[in-house]
Amino acid sequence: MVLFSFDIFSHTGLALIYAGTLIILTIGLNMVYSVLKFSNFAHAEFVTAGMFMSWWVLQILTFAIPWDTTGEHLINNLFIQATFAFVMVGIIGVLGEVLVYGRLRSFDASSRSFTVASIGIGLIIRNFLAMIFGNFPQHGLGGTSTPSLPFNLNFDIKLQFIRRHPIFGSQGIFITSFQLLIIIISILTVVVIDYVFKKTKFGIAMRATSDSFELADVCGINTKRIILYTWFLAAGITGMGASFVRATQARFSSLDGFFLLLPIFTVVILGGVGSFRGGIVAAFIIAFSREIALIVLTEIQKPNGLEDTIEQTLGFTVTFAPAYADAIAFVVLIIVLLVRPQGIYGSVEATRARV
Amino acid sequence: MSQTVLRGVNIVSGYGKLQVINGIDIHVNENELVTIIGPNGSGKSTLIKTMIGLVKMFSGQVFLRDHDVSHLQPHEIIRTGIPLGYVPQLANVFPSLTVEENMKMGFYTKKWDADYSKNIDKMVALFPILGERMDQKASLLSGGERQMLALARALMPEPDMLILDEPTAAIQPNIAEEMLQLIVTLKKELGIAILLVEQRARRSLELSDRGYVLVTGEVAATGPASELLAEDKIRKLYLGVRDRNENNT
Amino acid sequence: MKKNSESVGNLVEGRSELYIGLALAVPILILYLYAFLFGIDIRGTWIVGTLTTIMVFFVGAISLDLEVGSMGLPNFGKVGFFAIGAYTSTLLYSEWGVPFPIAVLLALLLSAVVGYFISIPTVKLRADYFAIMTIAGGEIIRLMLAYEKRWLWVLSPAGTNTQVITNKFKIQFTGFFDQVIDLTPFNGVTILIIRIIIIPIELFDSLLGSNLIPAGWKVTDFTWGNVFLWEILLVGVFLLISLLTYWLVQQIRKSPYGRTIRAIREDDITVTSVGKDVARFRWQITTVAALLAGLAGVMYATTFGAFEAAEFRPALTFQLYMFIIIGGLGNSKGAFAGTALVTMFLRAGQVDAVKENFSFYFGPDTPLLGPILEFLQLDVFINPFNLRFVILGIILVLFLLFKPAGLIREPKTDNEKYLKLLTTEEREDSDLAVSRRQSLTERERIDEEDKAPAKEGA
Repeated sequence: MVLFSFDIFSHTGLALIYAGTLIILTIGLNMVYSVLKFSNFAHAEFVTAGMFMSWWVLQILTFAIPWDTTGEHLINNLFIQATFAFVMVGIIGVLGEVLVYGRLRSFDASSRSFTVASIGIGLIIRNFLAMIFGNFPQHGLGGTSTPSLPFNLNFDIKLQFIRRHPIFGSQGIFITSFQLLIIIISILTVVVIDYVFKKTKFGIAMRATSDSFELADVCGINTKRIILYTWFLAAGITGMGASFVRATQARFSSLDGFFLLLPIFTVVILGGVGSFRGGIVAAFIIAFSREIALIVLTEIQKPNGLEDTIEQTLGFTVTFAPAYADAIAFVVLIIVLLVRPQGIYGSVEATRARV
Repeated sequence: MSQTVLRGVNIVSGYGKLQVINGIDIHVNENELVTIIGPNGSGKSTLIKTMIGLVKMFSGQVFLRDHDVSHLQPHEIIRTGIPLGYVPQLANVFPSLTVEENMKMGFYTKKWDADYSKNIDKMVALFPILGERMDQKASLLSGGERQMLALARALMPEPDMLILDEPTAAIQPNIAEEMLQLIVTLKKELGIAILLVEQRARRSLELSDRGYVLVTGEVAATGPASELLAEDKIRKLYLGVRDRNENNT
Repeated sequence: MKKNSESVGNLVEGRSELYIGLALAVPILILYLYAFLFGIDIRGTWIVGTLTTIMVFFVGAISLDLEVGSMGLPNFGKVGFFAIGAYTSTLLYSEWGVPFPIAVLLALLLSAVVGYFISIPTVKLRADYFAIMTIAGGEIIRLMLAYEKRWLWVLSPAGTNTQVITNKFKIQFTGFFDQVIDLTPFNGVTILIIRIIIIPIELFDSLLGSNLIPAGWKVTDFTWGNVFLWEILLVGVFLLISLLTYWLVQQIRKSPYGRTIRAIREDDITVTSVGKDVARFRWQITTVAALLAGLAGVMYATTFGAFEAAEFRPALTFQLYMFIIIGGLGNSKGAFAGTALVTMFLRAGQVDAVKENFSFYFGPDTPLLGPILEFLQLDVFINPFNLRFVILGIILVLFLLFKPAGLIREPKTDNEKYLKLLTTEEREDSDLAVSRRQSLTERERIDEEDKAPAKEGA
């Protein structure tokens, strides 16, 4: 007997991977949003840049250290790639602040100006990357490109028993130890950042700066430097996360970050601006509701499913395309904004600045 | 002779191209309460913001004890090592930080160690109501409590010099009176030099040692507070006292 | 005195605007001309195509500008209304047989209704949250259009169900007015003009040995090519629509109503406190803007003939934002200037001749840089396709930093009209009173006020 017609573990695995992706990519946006108070659309391009940077360092190392024949220790090392992406994307973030945002701030531009500027910066970064590295999708996984780890962690979770048992479907779990590691790193990063933001001197200074630049300044905080650190951290963590995401994907292109932008925004707002732990919960909610929607819509569209039944009884119907699952994040976003704009864990801030 | 803590020499400043302060000399001595009064738009707040480094100074010099702090950023002035407390008129607490974190911000330039907890205890003794609300967000405090928190934050580093911009502006009259009394106590007991900008000109002059009267970015009159209080023209123009006989003629 | 100095200030301001405008417009026009001369064979059609595209996006930009520039509502879901307009008009006519004018009207109506519903949460949300909400709304609309097979997909000529929508009105329109208009009579005059224009370029080429003018190119080869009658008619109709839209928006902006919405943009709380219903103004403007965006969508569908949901991505909205930020927020002329320049720039960048001549490749074989690039494993390919977006991004950021008002600044509210209602004497009196008060120093003012009660008493 087959209990579910769909493979529950494989869907769970996919949802977990998606949640991990969202968790680590959300941190940077949340940080910028809560400290600098504007929607940074260029965040999508930090993701893209992180992917390209981690790919680039792989190319450089392959060329520069040919003696590393196995390629597992240095050339294709996940941590080297993540560090490189962290530093490079962090520098991109700092450059944005120094060249554009800092100047905008100096004459008190509106948050709309910041947002539009971030669109411009995003356009520049994306097309610049495309010119240097190419527009076409680049291979991520497969061949020598799968990043390896300095230690042996090659036990794929296969769970033979469950996999073979017909109750749970037939496909098995597609979550590898590597992906599991990435999910764990994502959650650990959030915990660390949350601690830094809440408890340390640097974190309190960041929050103080976000409240009032002038007051923070007269307390002895070098606000300009704090903002630069914020950008470096925010962009850097995003770049690092993007290098992980690239490692789990089959291929990537210069538009990948842009497609992830809105789900990332949804997670930030659902979790609450300024609350990193809320981001974890929100990422799981979004990832699982997307996967559940996918399952439900697929079921409805099957022959003799709900769609056919409606067709037969009413004579007409609408399509329940599984692709609508992508819209779940947006629907959740709109509902949250209308019902509880401060998010799950967000503080009661002025979301009603309007009359 | 008592030493000068804060001294501004021929300060000229303003916003953008607009000049607001047209050359002002001002000084505050140790253990002295100095009040700046003047009509709206006379540049009182701009003057102290200039001295603290928040408004760009066109020309002139500012000394904090012996240090030349002209043209320094506020955080650089704070880091000269001479403890200085400043309470702005608006937005004087960090609303998203808890009461305790707000006080920590006052101690930002120093290590958060034994001294810090000692000072926290002092502040709680001074403002018992804040002690009850250490873990609350500052945005939940009332107007008077915010003012107290702002003052507590400014007092955290045990300042030599305290600059207060209209500390009684947005609070109830009875609490305002308490606040002024507290400021006097601070001066007497801790020996802090205090520079005060006040709308309640008469009451604050009565409590202070010296006063400056600012009009259109210039010092119109200065001297011991009692003399200013006695002077006819100032009484008439800025203290809201009118000679009854003159009106009846 | 005061008046004089003010007008001088305006003159200086106006001149700097002119310089910036020229600095932006001249290179774009040169690039466009270059593409026109050396890269295009059917030149007449190309020019007409540019004009129609500009007018489609102009209507879209003006609708966005009404919302963002005048009202201060950052709507990032504009592309959704484009899609609604395009889909409704096309599907109703092509698939359901509704007469085209009625189909267009229904499309506009649907856009307006959706716009009205979008306006409801604006009361509740902070501006940046509103921006994200609208961008998400636009994406939801796009996904529905892309995957709703039963209702929104159409049968392609090959017999399969496809999400590429063909506008039958366009096909019939082009079929009906398929007369060819021969532009050869204009060739002679144009060649004469080109001969003059080309002289400095030839000089440049001969002096520097460059080849800006392709080797085989001859002036006498120039032809305008042919234009179809329907292309001319389309431009005419679009011009009419654009002018009408322009006039409508101008009327809104000039009226007291327009002043109120600008006041709401600056400070909505104050406007509420004088007894205006801010929510009402918001939904009215959002609805009108949505209707205009729907109109732009109808024009889009008619221009491009066939389209699919994937074209209505947020990138299109971002492009509209570029038009109005570069052109200048809050005024329709700016929206036009921005749209025209950016559209010409983008179109010129698509032409093959430009692509070939402005492409540079740096790889391991490049002299000097080669070894470094080889070590870095880089093959840098500077191509106009991406470069034009980099340049656009840089222009956008530069405008935000150094010229936030845009190419053409929003006109200040003109008070002259109201002053004219006064008699000459009254005007002089009021001028005198103002100047007298301005000349007083603070101290004198206080003294004067001090005297006033005494005077009354006496």
